[in-house]
Amino acid sequence: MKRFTILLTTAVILSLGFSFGKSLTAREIMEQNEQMMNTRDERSDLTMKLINKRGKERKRQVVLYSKTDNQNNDKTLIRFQAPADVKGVGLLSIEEGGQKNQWLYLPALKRVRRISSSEKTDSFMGSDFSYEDIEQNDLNNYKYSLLREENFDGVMCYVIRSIPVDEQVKQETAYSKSDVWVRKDNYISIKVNFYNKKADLIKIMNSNDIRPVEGTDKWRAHFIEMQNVNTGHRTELLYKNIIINQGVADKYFTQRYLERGR
Amino acid sequence: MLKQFAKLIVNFPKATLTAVMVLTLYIGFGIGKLETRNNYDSDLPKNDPIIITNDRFKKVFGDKDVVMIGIRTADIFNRQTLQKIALISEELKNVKGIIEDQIFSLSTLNNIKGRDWGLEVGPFMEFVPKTIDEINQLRNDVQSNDLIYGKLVSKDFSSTVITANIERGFDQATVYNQVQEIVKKYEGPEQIYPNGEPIMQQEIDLGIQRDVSILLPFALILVLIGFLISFRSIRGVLLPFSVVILSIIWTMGIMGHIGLKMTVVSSALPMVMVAVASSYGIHVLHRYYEEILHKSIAEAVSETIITMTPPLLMTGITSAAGSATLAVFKIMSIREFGIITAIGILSALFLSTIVPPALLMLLKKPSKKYKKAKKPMGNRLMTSFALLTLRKPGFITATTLVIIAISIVGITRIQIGSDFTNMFPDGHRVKQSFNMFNEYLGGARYFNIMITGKEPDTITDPALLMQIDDFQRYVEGLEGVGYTNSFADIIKRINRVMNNDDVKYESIPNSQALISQYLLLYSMSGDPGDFEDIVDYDYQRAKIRVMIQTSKQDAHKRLYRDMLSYAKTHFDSGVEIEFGGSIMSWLAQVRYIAIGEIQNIITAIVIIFLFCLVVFRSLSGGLLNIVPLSIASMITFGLMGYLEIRLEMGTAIITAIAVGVGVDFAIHFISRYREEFQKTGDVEKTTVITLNTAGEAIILDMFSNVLGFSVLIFSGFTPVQNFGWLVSLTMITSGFGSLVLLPPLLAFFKPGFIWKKQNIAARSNTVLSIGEEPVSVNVNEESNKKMMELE
Repeated sequence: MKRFTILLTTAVILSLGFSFGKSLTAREIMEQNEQMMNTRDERSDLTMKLINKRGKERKRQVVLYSKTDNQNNDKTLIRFQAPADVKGVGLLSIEEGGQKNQWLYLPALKRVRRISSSEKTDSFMGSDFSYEDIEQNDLNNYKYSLLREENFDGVMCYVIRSIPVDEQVKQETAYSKSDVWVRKDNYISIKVNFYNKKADLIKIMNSNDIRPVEGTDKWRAHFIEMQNVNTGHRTELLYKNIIINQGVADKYFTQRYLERGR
Repeated sequence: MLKQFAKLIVNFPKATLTAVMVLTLYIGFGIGKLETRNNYDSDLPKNDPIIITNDRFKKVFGDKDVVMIGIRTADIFNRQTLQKIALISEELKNVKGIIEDQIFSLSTLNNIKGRDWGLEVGPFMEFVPKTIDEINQLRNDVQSNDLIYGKLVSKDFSSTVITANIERGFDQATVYNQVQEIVKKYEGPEQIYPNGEPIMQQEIDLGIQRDVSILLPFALILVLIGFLISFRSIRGVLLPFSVVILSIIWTMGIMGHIGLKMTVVSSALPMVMVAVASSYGIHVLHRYYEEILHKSIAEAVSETIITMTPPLLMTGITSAAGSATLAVFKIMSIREFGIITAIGILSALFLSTIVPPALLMLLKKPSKKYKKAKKPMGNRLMTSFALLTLRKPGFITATTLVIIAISIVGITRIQIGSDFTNMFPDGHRVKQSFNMFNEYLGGARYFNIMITGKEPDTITDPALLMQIDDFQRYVEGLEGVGYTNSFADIIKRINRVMNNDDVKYESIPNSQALISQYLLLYSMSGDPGDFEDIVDYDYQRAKIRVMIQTSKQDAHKRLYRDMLSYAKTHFDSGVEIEFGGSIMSWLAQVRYIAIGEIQNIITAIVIIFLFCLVVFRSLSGGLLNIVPLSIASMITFGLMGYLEIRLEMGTAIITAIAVGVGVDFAIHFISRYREEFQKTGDVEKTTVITLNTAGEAIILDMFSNVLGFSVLIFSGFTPVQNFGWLVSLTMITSGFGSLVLLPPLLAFFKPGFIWKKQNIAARSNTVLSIGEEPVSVNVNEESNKKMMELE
C-alpha cells in the first residue's frame, strides 16, 4: 500500500512535471534556446558562400574566435583565410560597457584602422545575414507567442512568433515580426521566417546538420542558409571544427594579434 | 459572282446583319486582350548585336530596372528637405517590386569616411541632422566624396536623386501610382521629378490610353459632323458611322486576338481607321442615294453593291498594300503597325460593302429625295483651273522642277533616328523630368560598358583598373557626358580614405592584393546587392556606367563613336569592351529605319506601280499614276529636312500610308479622264469635265482623309503628331498634285491606253467606274454647257 502511494505520488508528480514541461511559455522556450546557444568562448572555421540569383558564387573562409567575459561583454575576431588575396584580413570587435569598438587590419596596407561599429540591421560581412540575425538578441526586446507545435523536417518543433516590444526596438530592427521553429528536444532553432515592415516574408533561414559539439552538451547547426526572398540572393554558412568552452586565450582579442595577420 | 453576293444581302438582310453582329461580338472580345508594348529592346530583331549584348549584360549584372526620384530646391541641405529624403527613401520600400535594400540615397548610401579616430562606415545620413554643424558636416562629407558629389547630389547642392532598384516582373501601373503618391505627398516647396524605366513605360501606356480616349471621340465627332454636312439626314449619318465603329472594333479586336501589342505607333490606328472607313461608307451611301431616285429599294441596294464593290476593292487594296509594305521594316512596332493597318483597311472594306446595304434593305425609302448640292461657284473655279493647267504647261513644269530641286536639298538634310526622350512633346512632365536630370544630376539615361578580362580575377589587376580609370577620365571630358562610375572609382576612394584622406592617394594602388582587400572592405560594409551592379561574381567583368546629359541622338552617336575608338586603342588586347543600355537600342534603330525607309519607299512605289499597270494594262498608265504621289512624298521629306523633323518611328510610316491612300486620287482622275476622252475625244473638254467631276470628288476625299488624320496632331506623342500633320500634308500635295500635274502630262504624252480607244471599249465598264464619285448626267451636261459657254 505504501509502495502504491509512493508510486502514485511519483506518477502524479511526474505527470505534473510533464504537463508543466509541456506548458512552457514561448518566452521560456526562447530562454532555453538562449541557454543552449550561450558559451563562454568559441572557435570555429567558417566557410561563407554568397550565391546570387544566377547561381554565381563567391566564397570566403574565416576563423571565428569569440569570448564572453563576466560582465557579459563579447569579443570577437574574424580572420580571413581565403581567397588568397585577402588572407590575413582581420576584424576585431570588443564590447565594453555596452559600447562596441571595431578594428580592421588589411595586410597589404600593414596597418590597423579603427572603424565604426555596425548597426544591427547592417549586413554581416556583405552576406544575406544581418548582425541581428546571427547575434543573440536580448529576450526583453521582444514579445514571444507560441503559435503552434508541429512536426518540421521530421522533428517536433515549437513555432514561436516574436514581435518588437516597443517603438525603440521597432526602429532598431529591420523586421516587423519573425517566426522561429525551435526543436523541442534540444531547443535549437532550425528555421526562421523574417517579415519586413510591409509584413511581407523577406528572408528565410534554414539550419541543418544539427549535432552536439564534441565534448560539450551544446548542440549546433553546422550548416545555415539564409535566403532573400526578394532578390533571390542567398548565403550559406558552413561551420567546421567548432570548439566550445575550451578557453580561447585573451591574446586573440588584441590589436597586436590582429596586426600579426595570422 | 458580284450579283450573287448582292442577291444574298438583298434577300437576307437580317441574317447578314446578325452574322456580322455575332462576328463583331466575337472579334470584339479581342480588345480585352490588347496589351501594350513600351519596352523598346523588344522592338529590334533578336539577332541584333546590340540586343545580344544587352541580353548578356542582363545575364551578368541582373535584369533590374531603376526608379529615380529627383528632388530640387534652393539648397537641399536644410532640415526639412533632408527629412524628406529620408522619408521618401523609407517609403519607397513600400512600393511593390522595389528591392528594399537597394534604395540609394543620402540616407541609405554607405560612405567610408576618414575621421580623427579612424574609419567611419555607414550611411551619409544615419539620422537627419538637427544642428547647423551637423548639416555642414554632411555637406562637407558629400563635397569631399567624388563618388557622389556631382552625381547623387548636384554640384550646386540644389538637387539630389533617390534611386531604387526594382526587380523585373513588377506591375508597372502599381509602381507608377505608388511613386506618384509619394511625389504628391512630399512635393512643395521642393520640386520632385520621378524618372526611370518603369515610370517612363507607364507614361507611354498612359499616353496611348489618353490618345485613344481623347482623340478617338474627337475624330468620331468630326466625321459625324462631316456626314451630317454631306447627307443632312439621320441615316446618312448613322450608316457610314456604323461602318466606322464596326471597323474600329474589328481592327482592334483582331489585333488583340492575334496578339499584336499596342505601341506608340499603333496608338494612331483607331484614328487611321476613322479616316479610311468613313470615306468607304460615304461612297456607298452616295451611290445608293443616286440609285434610289429611280429604283426600288432592292434594286437600288443591289445596284449599289454591284457598282461600288469593284472601285472600293481597288482603293482598298492599294491602301492595304501600301500599309503592308511597312513589313519590310525590321522594327517591330512599324512592321506590326503596317500589318494591322492593312488588316483594318480590308475589314473596313468588307464591312462597308455589307453593312450599309443590309441596313438600307431594312429601312424605308428615304422620304426626302437626296440631291447632290452643286455649287456653281466651285464649278466656275474648277473650269478656270482646268484651263489654266492646260495653258501654262511651261510654268507648271518649271515650278514643279523647282519644288523638286528644293525638296531634294531638304532630303539630303534629313536626320535619322530619335531618342526616347523626344517621343514626348516639349513641356510634357516627362520632358521636364529629363531636363532636370540632364541639367543638374548628370542625366537620367546612360550607356553601360562592359569590360571583360581574359580570366576570372583580372578585374582586380591594377593595370586594367588604371586603364578603366583613364577611359573614364577621357569619357568624362567628352561633351554631353554627365559623369561615369565604375568599380575603379570605389577603389580610388577607399585608397584615399585608408591613407589619411590624402588626395594624393585618390588613385589605383599598385598591388592586386590591396585592391582585393579594399574590395572586401567595401563589400563587407554594404549589402550583397551593392556590388552586383558594378562587378561580376568572378571578378572578370566590370561595368562602367556613362550618364548622358543630352537627349540629342546625334550627340549619342558621336559619343559612341568616340568611346569605341578610344577603347579600341587604349585597352590591352584580350580585354573585351561592349556597349549596352537603352541608348544603344535607340542608336541601333537608326540603321533599321534608314534601310527600312529606303526599302519601304521602293516597295510601296513598285507595288502601286504594278497595281496600276494591271488596272490600266499600260506602262504609261502605271507611271503616270505614281508621279503625283512620288513628288508629294519628296516635298514631305524635303520639308522634314528643312524643319529638322527627324526620320523616326512616326515619320517612317508616312510614305506607306500616304502612298497607299494617295494613289487613289490619281487612279480616280485618270480613269475619269479616260472615260470622258472616249466620249469627247477632246483634251480640253475632257480636262474640264474630269476636274469638275472627279476633281471635286478628289478634293472632298482629300479633305475627309485630312480631317481624320489631322486629329493626330493632338496626340501626346511627338512622333504621332508629326505623322498626323505630315501625312495630311502628303494627302493634300498628292491630291493637288494629281489635279495640277496630270492634265498637262496627259495632254503632252497622250498615253496609248487613253488615246487608243479600241483597246478600252471592252473592259471599260468595270475599270472606268473607279472614279466612284459618279456624277449624274445632268452635271455632265451642265459642265458641257459651261464648256461651250467658255468656248
